[in-house]
Amino acid sequence: MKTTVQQIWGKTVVPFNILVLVCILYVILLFLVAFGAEKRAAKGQLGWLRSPLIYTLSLSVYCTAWTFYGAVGYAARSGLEFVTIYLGPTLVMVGWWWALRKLVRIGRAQRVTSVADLISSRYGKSNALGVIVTVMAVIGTTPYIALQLQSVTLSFAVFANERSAGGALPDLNSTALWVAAGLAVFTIVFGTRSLDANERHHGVVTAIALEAVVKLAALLAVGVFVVWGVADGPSDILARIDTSHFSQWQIKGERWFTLIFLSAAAFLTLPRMFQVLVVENVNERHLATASWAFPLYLFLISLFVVPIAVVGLSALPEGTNPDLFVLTVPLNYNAEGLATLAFLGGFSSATSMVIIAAIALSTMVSNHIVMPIWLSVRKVGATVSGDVRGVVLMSRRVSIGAILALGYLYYRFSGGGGALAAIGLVSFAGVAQVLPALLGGIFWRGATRNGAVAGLIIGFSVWAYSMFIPSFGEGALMSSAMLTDGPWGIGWLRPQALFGIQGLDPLVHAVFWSMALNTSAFVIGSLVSFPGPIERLQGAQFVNVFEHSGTARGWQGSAAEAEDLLVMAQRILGAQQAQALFQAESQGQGRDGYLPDVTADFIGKLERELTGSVGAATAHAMLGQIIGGSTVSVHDLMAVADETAQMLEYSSQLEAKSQELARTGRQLRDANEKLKELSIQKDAFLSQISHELRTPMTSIRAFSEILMDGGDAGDEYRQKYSTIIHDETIRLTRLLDDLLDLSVLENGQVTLNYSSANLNDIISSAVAATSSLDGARAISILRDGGRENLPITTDADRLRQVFINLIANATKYCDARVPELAIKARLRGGMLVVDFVDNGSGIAKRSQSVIFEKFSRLSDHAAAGGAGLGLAICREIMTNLGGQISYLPGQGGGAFRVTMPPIAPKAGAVK
Amino acid sequence: MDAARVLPIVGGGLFLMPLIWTAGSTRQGIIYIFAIWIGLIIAAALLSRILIKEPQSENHGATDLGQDSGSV
Repeated sequence: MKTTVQQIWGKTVVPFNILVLVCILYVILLFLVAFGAEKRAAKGQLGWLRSPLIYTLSLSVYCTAWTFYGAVGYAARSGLEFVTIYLGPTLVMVGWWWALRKLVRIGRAQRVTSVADLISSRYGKSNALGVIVTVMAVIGTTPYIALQLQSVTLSFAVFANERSAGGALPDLNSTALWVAAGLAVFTIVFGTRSLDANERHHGVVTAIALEAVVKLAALLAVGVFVVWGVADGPSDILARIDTSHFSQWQIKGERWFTLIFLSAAAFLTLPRMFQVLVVENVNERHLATASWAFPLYLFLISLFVVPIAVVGLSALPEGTNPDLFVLTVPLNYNAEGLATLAFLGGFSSATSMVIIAAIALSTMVSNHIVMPIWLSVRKVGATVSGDVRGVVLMSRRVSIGAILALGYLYYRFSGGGGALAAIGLVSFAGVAQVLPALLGGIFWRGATRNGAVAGLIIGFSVWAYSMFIPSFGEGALMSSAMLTDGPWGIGWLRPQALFGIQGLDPLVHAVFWSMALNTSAFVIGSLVSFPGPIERLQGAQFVNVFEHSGTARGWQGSAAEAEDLLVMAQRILGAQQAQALFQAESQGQGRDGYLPDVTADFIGKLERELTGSVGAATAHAMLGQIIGGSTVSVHDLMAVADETAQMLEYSSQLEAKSQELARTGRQLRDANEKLKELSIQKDAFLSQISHELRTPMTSIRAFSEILMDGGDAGDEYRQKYSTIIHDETIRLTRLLDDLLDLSVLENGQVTLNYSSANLNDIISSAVAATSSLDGARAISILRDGGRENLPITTDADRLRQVFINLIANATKYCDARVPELAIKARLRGGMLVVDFVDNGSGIAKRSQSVIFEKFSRLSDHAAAGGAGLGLAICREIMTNLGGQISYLPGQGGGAFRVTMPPIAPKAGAVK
Repeated sequence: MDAARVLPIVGGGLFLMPLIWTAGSTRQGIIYIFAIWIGLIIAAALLSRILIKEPQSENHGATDLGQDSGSV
């Protein structure tokens, strides 16, 4: 040790080479941890890899080297103000029920791969928006990556400086290059193993969690060392605070407020935070744990910042960089091991941020810039053979390399100067411009793509003009004249005093104007523009994610071949996974094999799977190439319609249903009435027919008994009795004949004899037959012989039977004093119509519906002959002849109408 | 659930209290801020316990949606 111990400020230091060795060993450890976690995940032994603890620790990528080193520097410069950077995220986490829960649910339901994907997907899968957000994220994050590289090189330099007294100063630029290259390798190896961004990067996340523990432990160790090792406990620290240059409370209110807001906004919108918060989230419940555990982490990180700062200020010589107090204070007190631990803590903070940021940005660049270009360059695109996965993974790897190269170049050319905290805040303000579009997208259905584009572009421009470009320093990109007098001397356009409002803190000024103009443009743009169908659909899916966690369909059953889709899916998801997906769907549809029916649901599901790999806009475009454009069905739009409209729709459906029910109920009641009526009729008929049968039977029995006794009655009486018996038998036979006839007609077993006849002849013969009936009352029959002269092809005997029945009924039942029956025949609408109208009292309305039923006889009339089968037989005959018979109300008496075709249909068929 | 919604607002209000301090020392400020902070953490921890146990009345969907992705 003696040879390596250097005497600088009179302290011992760690040899630089050993430091490099420790650093390399640490990196190897990280590789092993990541590798082991990937192995476990591959075996499905997730176990603690999916615990809320790992999730919470992974969120600590928020605490970068800017936190680890910069917070102390910040505190040394401006006291407690540094704490605002951690209060914002604390409030967001504590208020997880508001926004984070919804973001995570949307992220999982929609397979969101990045913050750019979320915005793009929400506003109608617009790739333009994806590109805008991606570009903003890259511009906003590159300085931040540069900052991490700078902090690692500076911390190396602290040790190297001490060494430099006796050896050559290592080239800082080459250190930064080595670090950048090493990080690129790690990120590519563990960040692009699989394509599906929804498949978590278990290796990376576990390594990040380990780094989170290292940096917290390092900072706490330095803090404990400072409070109880250097100072005499907390009271001594408080006393030292009272004597420090920031002992007086001198917080600027507007900065305090702005910084809390800004850090809260950045916490939600930073690409790396979105990656660990939403994309890498495995279970929504982890959020509940993280809601208190992560604020606790931030609390512990912040706890010793001020003590380290005050001790550093008092113990170290003037002019020492306060950003490196975490390293230089232990070194100052010869605590070599502690300084090494602190170095590893800083190294962890820097590397974890760079790794996650590179993964998040490469996903965005690859999904929103490389893939769309690749697709449009190769017009045939999605259907050609070849593995797209290779292209996507390669584009991600190249993107990772490019992003780290950009960070390195930025570090080289910005000269590594400036306070660390300043770069961090510039970056925060840049990514915070996404906030209005993000929150508007998940809480406001009226937000539109045009509004989002306007807000993002205006906010980003104002940020670049008033904050980003001036941050390079006067005279770098913006001349000092422009800063003091405005462009072309226009005073109200001065970058740090827009609209002539002076005296504001530059940070507050830039954040205020960029966010205010951004939000206004977003709101106004959304109000004046009209969202497209897919946009509306997505808007409803996002805003109401808790009501329906499905995906917007937007595809209609189309001519797409399942085979084409399978070919494409294989190339993005990989053959095995795609086939499994298709087979599962196929089985779900109850089919064998790998090719399911191409339903809208299936395409929606497939799009969701692809979205997890290549982002919403690209997946949509690729499917569009095969399916040929998407359409939104009326049903889909209805789902988006206002809840009021849905309620109206629902209530009108209910109304229609209840009307239908009422109608059915009425019909049932009518039918029931009819059944009751018929039942009564039937009972009446049964007693009637019993009576009808019994009367002849009684007389037959009585007279046959007399005949059997022989007795002394003469031949004359014997003759008379047997005649009575004979007549009664005939009456019985006729009754039974009628019943038989009806049964034959009803079963359609009747044989009809068709012939050509004249209607006049048939009516005449019917009239003649009735007039010869025994005991018939005289009824005058009015006819118009000329009009009856119509030819007809039918079964004339059967038709005459109908006419006879009608005339006989009129004869029997017409209750007029001078009974009359008018028979009117005519040809109407191709049908022969014959009306039989008498001048009696007619049939009561109540009875009209049952007179054609079997056994119906209107009991209020004196029974005469028939058993109530006549009209039922008539109806069956007419049905068989292709016509019908009906009661004709409102004719001033009983009226029946017989309608039939001039040529009976069956007769025509025979001919 | 409503308490979970109110908590960040209360916390934000308390964190903004230093805005209206006209005189005071950093020492008081540190003690005030860190005390509020730890109080907020404890309140959030208690609430999250309740919210996890509570039957999920507002979200009908399952919480664990992410099991469906196969591996490549």
